[in-house]
Amino acid sequence: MRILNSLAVRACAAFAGFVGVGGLVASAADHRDAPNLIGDPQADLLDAFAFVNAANGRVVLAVTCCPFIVPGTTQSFAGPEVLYQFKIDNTGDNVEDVVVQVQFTKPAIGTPTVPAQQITVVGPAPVKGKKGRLTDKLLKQSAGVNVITGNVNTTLTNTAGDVRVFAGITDDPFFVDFIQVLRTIGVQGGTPPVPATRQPVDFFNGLNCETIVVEVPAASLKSADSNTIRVWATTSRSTSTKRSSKSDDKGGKSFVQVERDGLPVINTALIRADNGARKDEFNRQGPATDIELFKADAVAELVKINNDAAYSETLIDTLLLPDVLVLDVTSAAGFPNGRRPEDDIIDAVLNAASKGAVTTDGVQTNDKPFLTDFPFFAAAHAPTETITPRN
Amino acid sequence: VSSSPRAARPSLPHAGERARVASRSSGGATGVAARALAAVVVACTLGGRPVTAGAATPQSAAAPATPRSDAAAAAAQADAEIAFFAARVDRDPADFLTPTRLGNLLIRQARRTGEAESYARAEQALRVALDRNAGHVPAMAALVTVHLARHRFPVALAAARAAVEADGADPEARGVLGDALLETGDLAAAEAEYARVLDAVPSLFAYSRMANLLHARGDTPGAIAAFGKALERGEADGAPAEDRSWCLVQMGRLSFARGDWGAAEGHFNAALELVPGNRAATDHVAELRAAQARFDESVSLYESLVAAVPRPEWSQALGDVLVAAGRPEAARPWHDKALQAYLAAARAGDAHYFHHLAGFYADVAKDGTEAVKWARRDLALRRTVATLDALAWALHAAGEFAEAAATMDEALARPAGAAPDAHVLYHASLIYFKVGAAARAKDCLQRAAIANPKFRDFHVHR
Repeated sequence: MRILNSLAVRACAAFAGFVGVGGLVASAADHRDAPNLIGDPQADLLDAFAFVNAANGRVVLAVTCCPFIVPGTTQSFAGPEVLYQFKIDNTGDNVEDVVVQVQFTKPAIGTPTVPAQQITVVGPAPVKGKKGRLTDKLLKQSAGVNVITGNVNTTLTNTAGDVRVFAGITDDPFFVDFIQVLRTIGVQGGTPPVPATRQPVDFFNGLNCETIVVEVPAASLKSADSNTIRVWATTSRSTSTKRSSKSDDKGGKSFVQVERDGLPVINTALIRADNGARKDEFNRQGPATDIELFKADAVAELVKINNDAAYSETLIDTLLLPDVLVLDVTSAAGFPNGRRPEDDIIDAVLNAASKGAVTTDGVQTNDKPFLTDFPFFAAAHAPTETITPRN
Repeated sequence: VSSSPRAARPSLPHAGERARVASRSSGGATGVAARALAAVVVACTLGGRPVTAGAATPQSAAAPATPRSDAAAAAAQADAEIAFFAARVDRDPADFLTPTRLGNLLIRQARRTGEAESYARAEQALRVALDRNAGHVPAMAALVTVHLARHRFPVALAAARAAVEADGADPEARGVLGDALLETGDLAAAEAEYARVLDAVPSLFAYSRMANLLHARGDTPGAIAAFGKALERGEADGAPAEDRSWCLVQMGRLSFARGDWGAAEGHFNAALELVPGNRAATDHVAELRAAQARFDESVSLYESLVAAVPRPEWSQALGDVLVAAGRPEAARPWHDKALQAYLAAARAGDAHYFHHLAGFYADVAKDGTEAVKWARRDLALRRTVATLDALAWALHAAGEFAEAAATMDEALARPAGAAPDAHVLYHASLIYFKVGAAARAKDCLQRAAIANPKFRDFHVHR
């Protein structure tokens, strides 16, 4: 049985890290180097979240990126070349009707004091004239469009006080005994089985990531006819080659979408990780065509896990595709109503994908308590913190 | 959990164009490899848009030096990451991912600093990963990178084959197998592997490897164009700025090697615009400045580099520039520092600087015997045009002209020796002159001048 095999392979490769090319000197006569394949942490989306803040009824949209940031890192990895977007469909066609765009200025590299890096959040704003297209242009910051600019690692609020924004390094909110999952399901053939005495280990214990959190009135996202919205996050890179060294250039005006993320693990696990071109096709599409274009891929991967084609197809149709978080903006419940940071996604996915054969990875909570109020995600681990060795 | 975008498939030229260019450019390669290489060449020469980095005036060069605070911050960050993951290796004895990441971080550190110790630690970490999971391909591929960096080419080749056997569909495994084949001089087999990578992931990753292959074949214009194609794909795919900047540095480096200093300057400027402070670009700008006899600027740039990162080859380059500037006394400490680091690495069992040692003894220390010793040790690891040239030049320095000529004959007879670097041809001309082959010496000198009209100007030993 292979459960989440693709997830495992994909994530293993990502976590393996990239050698990169910074500082390389290729030598013509002696030895050649070339960039390694993996390596775009800036645009690498980790998890998307959408939930209702029970305290005020507003909708919270969040996305994490830039994985494996170690404690003590204060320099942001997010930069002006990447456009981060929340896309919201409120008509049920899985095409964005409203977007929120987030851009960073250049990181304050080498600055020992509080980073001067800033973010600009534009929206929520309706997507005019772009129905059915990927949003690949910056929103115009015209009158009536909410625009918030300020420092990272700070909660920012608009003048009306009904929009809050945070972007910065936090604890990585994902919790899973990743090694246990891999070993249990026999990923990477030939690995020994996990000893029965093994205690769960939260693989992401002690690690940080970049987190963007936006809280907005539900009315700014929903339609008049429905309380249900569909949410996904995307990253796009500027198509501009040059970046000025003298200014906080936000890159070019046009962007190419390089990744999207809605439901947990769909992109990672169910769209063939062993086929980079297919993965790219998925990443460059919107969710409207997911069923048409990618259902067969997802069913094939699920069948490897549960050996039940009919069950897999039903699971795909009812829960897993299109790759969006479906949220009732009147309910503060968690997954599958959107996703809250505290929702134990891996247990839910393992259970559903394996048709109940595997119910848990043994890690039920995050290594740091989530906050009860905005920005909800736990503060970044500090270098002097004692990291709990287990779960 | 996390995934990284990969490249989209580029449009390829029609079959007729591919076949025509293949017969001209791929040196007899057949099958899928020839088609793939042809596609690269055609895409570069026919279908690809012009590379945007235009020629620039010398005055327009961007300030390349890395601010000290940036370098210090980057070094501190790297140290913190390594310390963090090193401390986690033993947290979970079943965890093969953490030592793999640690290994890759240490490889990156080694490339940045040139410290052999980092490669040794990387290897140690990767072996822990493979002890815990022998089939973990990312660790296997990273270990191949370590072997290549330490110039253990036969070991690298075997390890790369094992990685491909573990997962033949993994482009990274195929890529490092191609790298190992390229370094050991099996260009046809390298081409076949790169063709597979290009087919699976037609990206900057693939095109830059094809560019290296074209350069190894002596097709410098083709290699420059292929790096341009890699850059173009990188732009379209949203590849990180560091990778795109690296491509521009390669284009500049190869333009410099052809004597096209204006184009080189344009590419270096573009690389530095993309990633301010790019050290590889800074290194090459410093070399260009010395070639232009702007020695003070060159010295300043190299001083900034060695202050940021103690790479011994940069110490030697600084010494070389100072010699060229007529300041041999100032050069001596830098040459001494470089030599000590080269020898320390060799004593530690690292073969990485054998090639540098051969060149250093031949050209700086003027010690032919030592040059021959290190050149032979380098040649024992791989028999390529570069290593044969190094031995021939060392033998020339040692006064062993007949053997030098025979060695150079072998270098130029290799498939990759049909259109060698101008400096190889220059060495050949001097060696053939010593053995009385005046016509051949003249021919080599003429070819060197065609390959690079400015080949006698300053250049860095690499």
